[in-house]
Amino acid sequence: MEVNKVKMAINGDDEAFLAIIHAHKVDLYKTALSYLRNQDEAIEAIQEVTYRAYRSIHDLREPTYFKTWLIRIMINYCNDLLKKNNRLIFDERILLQLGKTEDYNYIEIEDAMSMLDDDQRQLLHLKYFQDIKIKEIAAIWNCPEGTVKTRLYKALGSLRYILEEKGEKKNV
Amino acid sequence: MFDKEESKLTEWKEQYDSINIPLEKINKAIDAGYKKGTIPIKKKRKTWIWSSIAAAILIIGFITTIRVSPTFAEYLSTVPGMEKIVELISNNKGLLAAIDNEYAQEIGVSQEKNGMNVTIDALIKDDTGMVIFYSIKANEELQNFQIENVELQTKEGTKINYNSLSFGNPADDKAKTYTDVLEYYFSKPLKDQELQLTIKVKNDSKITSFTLPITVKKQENKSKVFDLNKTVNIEDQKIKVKKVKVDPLRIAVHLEMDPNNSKQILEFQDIRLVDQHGEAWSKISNGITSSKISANEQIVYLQSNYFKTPEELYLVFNKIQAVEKGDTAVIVDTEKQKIIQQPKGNKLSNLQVEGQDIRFNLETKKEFNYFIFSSIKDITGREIESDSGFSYGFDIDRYTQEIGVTLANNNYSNPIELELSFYPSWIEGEVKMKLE
Repeated sequence: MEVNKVKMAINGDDEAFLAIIHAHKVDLYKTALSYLRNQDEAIEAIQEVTYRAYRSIHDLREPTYFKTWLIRIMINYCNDLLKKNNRLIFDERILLQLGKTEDYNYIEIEDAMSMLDDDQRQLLHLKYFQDIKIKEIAAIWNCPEGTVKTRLYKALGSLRYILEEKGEKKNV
Repeated sequence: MFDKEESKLTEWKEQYDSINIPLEKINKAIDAGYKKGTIPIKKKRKTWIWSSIAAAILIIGFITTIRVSPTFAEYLSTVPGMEKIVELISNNKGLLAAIDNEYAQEIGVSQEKNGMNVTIDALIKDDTGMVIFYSIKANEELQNFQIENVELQTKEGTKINYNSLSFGNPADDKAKTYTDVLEYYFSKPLKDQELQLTIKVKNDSKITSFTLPITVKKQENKSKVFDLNKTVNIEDQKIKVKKVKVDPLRIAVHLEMDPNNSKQILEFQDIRLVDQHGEAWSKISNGITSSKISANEQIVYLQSNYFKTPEELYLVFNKIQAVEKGDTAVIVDTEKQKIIQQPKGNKLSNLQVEGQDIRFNLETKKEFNYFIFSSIKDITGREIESDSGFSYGFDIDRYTQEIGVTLANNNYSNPIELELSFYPSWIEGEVKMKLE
């Protein structure tokens, strides 16, 4: 059913476009929040991602992968934003993510995730946070499923390394 | 094999199932994003999402001789590490004057961890912000050393909110010491006196976190505010000087451009305060140089003359970088290797695209030390990351520079828009406004 709506949206049907965005808004919000850790920034991200999706939906080749496509736009946006934070100057609103972390009890895993490289983080995010199937990730990345699995193990390995290293430090 | 990690990830995802979802705000955001999308691209005004971010220019360089007064020289000899600090702020006479007037507070707390010793040497505080000087000494040479993060908190651990923060990162790896200045600016005066500063550093890919207590002494400092609200006209562009506020750390000049101006003001190149002897306090060149309030409103920061009491004081500016309002971006088709749009005068020429590199020649006529581009977006509005920009003069007689950017990838749709933050075209006039 959604596939039809996605096809209509690709062909320029605005109502269909809005319907499918609304269908995934909670997923979008959660992804934004897990990357940016700040509600206002996450809301702003939704606005920008809606805009980018609207502008580029006609390029979407495989309608069944709409959700993954959308989530990846969000992840790219968040990564751009986080990279900007690495500049010398910070703006409070963007950086609230640093201050707000106290409010969450999953800081540990998110801190660790933020230390992964962009691709590994994206892979773990898609697989575990958004429950995207390996087959679909392989299709999107245009590579064999085996390759995705290998990368997944590597990413989990990196995550383990980061988590263990942190744990050690806490015990010192 | 990774059961533990996988269950952690699953648990993490499940925790998000119980978060509060601000549906109303989300719906509004979707609506706004959709509406923005339906505006035809040509008419769309570029919105610079970092509009409120402070602009910064980092100047790498050292000034070897610094003139100091006798009191200052004596003060320097009593405070360890102070010389290094003075070197760091040698291009900011406002901060030097604050130290010269013994307005700086000596702190001298340190913490040792993982073979490194971090010391907070001193700070300068006023109602607008706080500048913190610190140094790191390591037993071994620092390797791929980076400041990961800094955070200012109250003694109880509550994060202190700030408007802007500026800090440096080492350019040289093979050293055993590192000294830097943190510049915090707040939206309201910081009342807390018992603070702690956390500095997270990465050395040889290992992260160490230092937390040091700071006790700030109370100091009297009243801002000097000049409410002007005077509009000047430079080449038919109306510019209103709303007010000038002088504090120990910096001078804030609040400027507002008339929305009906035909040109977009990019940079007040030579704005300064001048006293009766012609002594000038110019823009801050290293750190936070300006804040953009909106497309038409900005605050420019000057080095402070707080510790001087001039008989006469003027705000002066003559030369402003500006382009026509429709020309605030350069549009380029990298496939056809063509410049589609650029500001009047065709100062950009000879576009060359090689892999991820986009190069132009820029005719400047005079010396021009600004890198003109800021953000880059493709036709879909997607931001294109750029790893680096480059610029070098190759024809000194005609002042033509070769400039360019290196994009992070080729994953974009043509044409692309390079937003201008500076440009070698000026409007000029004589503005001299009396403050005192």
